[in-house]
Amino acid sequence: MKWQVVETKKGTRCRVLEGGSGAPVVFFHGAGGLLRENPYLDGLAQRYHVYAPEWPGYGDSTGEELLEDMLDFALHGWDLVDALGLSRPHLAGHSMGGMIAAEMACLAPRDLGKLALAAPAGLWLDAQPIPDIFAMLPYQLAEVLFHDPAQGQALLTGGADLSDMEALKEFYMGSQRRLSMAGKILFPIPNRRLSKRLYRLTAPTLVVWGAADRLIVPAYAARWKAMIPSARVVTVENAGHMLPYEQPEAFVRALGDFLG
Amino acid sequence: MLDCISGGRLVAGFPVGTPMDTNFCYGQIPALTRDKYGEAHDLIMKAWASDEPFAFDGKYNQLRWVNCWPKPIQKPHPPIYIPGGGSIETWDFCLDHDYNYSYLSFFGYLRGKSLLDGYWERVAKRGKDDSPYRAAFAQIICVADTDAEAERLYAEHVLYFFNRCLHVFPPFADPAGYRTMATIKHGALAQLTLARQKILENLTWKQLVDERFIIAGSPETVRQQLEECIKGLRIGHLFCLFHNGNMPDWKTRHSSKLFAEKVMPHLRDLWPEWKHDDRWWMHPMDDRLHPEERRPGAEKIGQEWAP
Repeated sequence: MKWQVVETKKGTRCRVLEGGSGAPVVFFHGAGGLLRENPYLDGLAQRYHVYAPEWPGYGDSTGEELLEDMLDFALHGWDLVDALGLSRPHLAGHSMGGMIAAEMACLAPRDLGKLALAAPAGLWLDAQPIPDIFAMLPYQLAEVLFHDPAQGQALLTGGADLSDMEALKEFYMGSQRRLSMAGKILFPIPNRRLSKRLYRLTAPTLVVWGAADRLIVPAYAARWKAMIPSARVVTVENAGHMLPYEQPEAFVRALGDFLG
Repeated sequence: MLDCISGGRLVAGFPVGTPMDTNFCYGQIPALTRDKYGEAHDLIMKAWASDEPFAFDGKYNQLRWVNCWPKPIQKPHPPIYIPGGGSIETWDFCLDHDYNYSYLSFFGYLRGKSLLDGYWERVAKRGKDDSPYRAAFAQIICVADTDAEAERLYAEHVLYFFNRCLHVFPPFADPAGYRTMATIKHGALAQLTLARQKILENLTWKQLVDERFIIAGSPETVRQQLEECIKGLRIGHLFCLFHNGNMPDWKTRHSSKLFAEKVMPHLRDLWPEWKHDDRWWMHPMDDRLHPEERRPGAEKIGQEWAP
């Protein structure tokens, strides 16, 4: 897969990881952004033409000041689809990216093929409050994000040596910039009333969840199913919230079975 | 209203708020906090200045009718102090509008120096005059007859404050988006915060005094150290913090009385060349009412205006 840069009509400049051939699939990353290695995207690119844009505020993508609220975010998703010149792509998203993809599908239900959501944010259950990632120190994140936190920690830092002050500062700045952007739709409670709009959804929908998700616990999968009765729900064992990274093969298989 | 009641003695402080209150208690989105603050500032200034009702179509505040009444006595507006903690955007905000920049720290003037040095560098870079009255600093002060007496009287209360009350839950200190990338990049400040957490764990009176978290001792000790503080930071305004932690009323009065009588007179006129700079001082009305001057012959309160 390789990187390209697209400019949206609104004026953001986004890096897009692109590769493969077949039906177009646009994948939106979660609040942590794309990591250095994204094997599940390589897996999807074996069967589909995959586009994984980096959101403004992430990596080399800029224009974060142009996006302030949920509507801005969802429309920006469609602006990216337009900038890539795609017609009725499948939309997929992980966590925050799933929340964005679901909003997009509610706004323009006839403009997409299918919708695949991996542990999407966007709903809230009082009985299952989602841990506050904005009130965690960097070293506490892996614990809630991964089935295997030790391995997860290495994935999150991309192998950087955080005992080195410069590396730590770089990492901290990147992480603050990403979460600063994510906070616009996730802080203080990651619920921008998507549930009021889900009735508009017509695209066939898949919801994939890690059985060991400690951030957005699997009870939320049941909630999505209740909100979208036609949705297919797949649970992946030995995976936490970062299931695309922890179980890339199972994740790709679930998407492949669904997208066809 | 306060400016009217006080006859034009209001100093208006506009704090951005800390992450603990603004973001975590009130649920404001960190990345939008500064923008929202800026808009609120514009709304207040316009409301104070406008003679007619107006519509305000803000991003965060939509008000069809803004009709501020009463207006402040001080024209064009009361002096404005902006408390800050080192964001370079706040420095620029103060300099754009010629507002006072107040560093409200509990950590003393030695630690405050690098931050205020950064501010003064910014002042010079922006081509503004370097009147010390552009800056203020908050300092905990304890005055007693002798240094030993200060420890005996105040140590318990100051330690109660530092070791018990002054606790910040570390994850609440710097939520993503609260500080801009430019400020984080600007440097040493993050380390200061982390270093601060470490230092703060089990402070002793000796540490607090030696490292100048507090200025405490005899009137002469306090005078010397405050002069060093005022000159070192180049500040024209000093917030004197006399009450601390669980300090009882009488000790607070004792300390502030000694300060007023034996310290303060020696600290006036430290900036003779800026003596007449009152841009950041209040301007009370000169024709105010004098309710204390009762009608001649009135014997009891309440009967002054009796026929």
